[in-house]
Amino acid sequence: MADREAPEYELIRAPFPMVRKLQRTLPSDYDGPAFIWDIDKTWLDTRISQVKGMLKIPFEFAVDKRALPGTTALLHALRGGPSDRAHRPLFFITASPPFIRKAIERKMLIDGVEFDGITYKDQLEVFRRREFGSLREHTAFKLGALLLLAQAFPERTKIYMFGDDAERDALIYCMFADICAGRLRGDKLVATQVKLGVLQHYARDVAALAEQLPVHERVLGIHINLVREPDGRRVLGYDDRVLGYPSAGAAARVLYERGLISARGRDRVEQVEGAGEVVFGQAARDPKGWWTPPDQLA
Amino acid sequence: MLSADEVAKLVSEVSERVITRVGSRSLAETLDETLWWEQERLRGQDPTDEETLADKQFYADVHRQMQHATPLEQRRLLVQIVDRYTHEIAGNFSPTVYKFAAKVAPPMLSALLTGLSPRRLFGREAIPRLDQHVIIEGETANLETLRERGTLIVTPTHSSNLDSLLIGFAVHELGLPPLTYGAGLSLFRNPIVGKFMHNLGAYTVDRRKRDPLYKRTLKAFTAVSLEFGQDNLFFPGGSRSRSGAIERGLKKGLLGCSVSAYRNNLMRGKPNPDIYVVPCTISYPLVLEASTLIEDWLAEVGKSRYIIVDDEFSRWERWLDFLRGIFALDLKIHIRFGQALDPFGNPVDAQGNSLDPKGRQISARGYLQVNGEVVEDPARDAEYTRELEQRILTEFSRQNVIHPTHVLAFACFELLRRAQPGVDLYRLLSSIGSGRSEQSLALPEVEEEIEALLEQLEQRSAAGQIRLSSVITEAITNDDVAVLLRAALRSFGTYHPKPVVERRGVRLHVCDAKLLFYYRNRLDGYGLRDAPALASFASPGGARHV
Repeated sequence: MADREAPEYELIRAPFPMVRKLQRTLPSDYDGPAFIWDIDKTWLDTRISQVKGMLKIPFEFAVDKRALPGTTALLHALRGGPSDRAHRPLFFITASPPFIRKAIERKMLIDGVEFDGITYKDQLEVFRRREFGSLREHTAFKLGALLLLAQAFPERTKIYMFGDDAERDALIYCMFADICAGRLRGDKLVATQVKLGVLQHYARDVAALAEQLPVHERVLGIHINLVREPDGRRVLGYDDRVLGYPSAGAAARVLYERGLISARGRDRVEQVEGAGEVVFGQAARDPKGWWTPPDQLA
Repeated sequence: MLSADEVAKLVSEVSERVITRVGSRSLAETLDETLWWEQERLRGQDPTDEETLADKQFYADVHRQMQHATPLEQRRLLVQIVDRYTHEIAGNFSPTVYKFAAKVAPPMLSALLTGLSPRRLFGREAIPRLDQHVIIEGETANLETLRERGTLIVTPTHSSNLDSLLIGFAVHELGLPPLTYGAGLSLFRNPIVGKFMHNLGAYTVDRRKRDPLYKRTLKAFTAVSLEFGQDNLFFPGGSRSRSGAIERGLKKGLLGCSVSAYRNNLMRGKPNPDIYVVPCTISYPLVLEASTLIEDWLAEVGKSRYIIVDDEFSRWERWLDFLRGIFALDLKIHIRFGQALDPFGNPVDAQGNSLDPKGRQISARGYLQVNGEVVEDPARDAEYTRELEQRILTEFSRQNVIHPTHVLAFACFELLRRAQPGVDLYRLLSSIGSGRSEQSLALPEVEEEIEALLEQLEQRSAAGQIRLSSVITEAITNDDVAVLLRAALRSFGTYHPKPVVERRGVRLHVCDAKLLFYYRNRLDGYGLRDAPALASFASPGGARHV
């Protein structure tokens, strides 16, 4: 269903209330990378997930929003790819409410961040439903948004995800990876979500959506900005496909080595912020539950 | 700037000069002509307007008195009319208002514009300054010396009503005294700046007045003010470029004042008789009134409005949007001064000596002498003015600073034009359209076109035929089209109510074909990418000033 006021946005009600804009359809034989980014504390230095951050929203203009050092250059580098001209798919998923979409998208325009799609959490609808606990709990929203994107992607798309350690991004992204690979579905997925505070009906809707997704290993990398624990403590419990980075420059060095960005792209990020080294997850890979730490599973 | 006494003398000198010239014609004929033109003008005016009522009363009196007037009385009536015109034209420069405006306006403007964000207003962040956004460059080093040795006429390109304010700012920044300039009536009626225009050195140019006597008075006013040593600002294109192109033809009437003032100075043995013409370009990445101007250009000949009083310039909110865009996006407006010229189009050196094409000093006075005497010869002077025009146009073309918005618009327009060969401009623009018929281009295709365009621009720039803004230079140096594209898209997406071009995924959508054409036209007439000249008419104003 399209938003009547802004028809380029879709109003999505299941598996979770959200508002989405998609501007690109990848060709069915596409097998390259697609990047999915969080916004709050991953790209922008904002705290939308916190009450104080939410209260600041009406007083903040696009020009006031500050990107975390080096992250805009990192987004440019990922978009450009190894050739600097690849226009690689880039999508955002944010728990920010849709009423600040103008400020966010204007900030993207000002910073030259090209994106192919963006999904906002429809906080007003959640509020209207009086599900106040779900206002600050993002698991069902993020999983739902990720699954809908995965449905829109060609099956062989290689997904790389970027989040932060201020919230549960690493856990949610790992759950998504396991869902795609068919390791976390059905009752186990419902129970895990409920354990994390998701309402039963949202958990069931997410699980139902997951069932529609053909089983395939889709996620190739999870990158976590270490804003809360710079030593990467929170990342250690995951396997080595989860990478924590203390600065955009540190992430850029790894992404360059992996052939995802150009040397010029890396250098530009490092010029802004290049301190520190990345931290890799240290848990053993377990084919039956790797990535999602066993203690987090129901 | 002239004192009140000097202004009174100037007014009296103008009246005398105009009346003397009328002497050769029949007084009655001139009066009839004036009455006809003025009554014709007043017929179209708002009948309740106080000024119109006063004018109607005045001309009714003149008409009544004319019936049985003797030649002496006819002369008295003509003096009355010319005096009325001259007083209306003359400004009322106030040094206090000027000093106050020069000191207070730029920081106030900066604070107001950045302070529009509450966070910035109450935060401790540094407020950007106007001088960070207006780049004054080019041959500015000698202007002070030239001013001391003679009188300056600054002749800029004209895109916006903001031009005169920006030149005022530039002149102040360069430490030069204020310039006097002719400003259209629309500026004086503007609710934002109208009240201050006279006090800041402007004199009134009422383009609704078609009476030849008014035009002669206006021209005499300019010439006499130059002879009084008052530095002037002329917009030689006449009015704002409607198409967005730089001027390819100039109004020679006003320009001719430079020769006549120089000649009169020599004939009267004035101590600093030299007149220096300083071409100058003002290049905006975004133009405040672009939408109205291009609409006007595209309107059918004869239907377009020569005088626009209801454009974006008269609306507060558009000013704020425009200036906020300039500040928030860190955009730069370039004011670029070119090579100073003598009234015959010869370049002058740092000391104000005229130079021939080989750089040898020549005598400017010699151009006006016959058998060692300075003589008046209108036909000869008109030819000199044509030479001057050509030199100014060459400088305009050379000093034109290109911004990313111009490059992106040119590239997109060219791709769309080539896709529909043989289609005329109007059909092409309507086919690009908007809404459902909105056309889009693949980003890689646009990037390729921009690359090819940049290659040609780099060559032209190296040959001194055009100037490039810092973002374009950076894109060329680093072989990075993306940086240019980002800059252009953010400019296009922020000020105009509808983005001119918008990126959606990996396609660029043209949302406003007319504005695309307008911004593209800044590169019109350079023969880039074998594109035809679509807007550079070799007529006064260079850009179809109807």
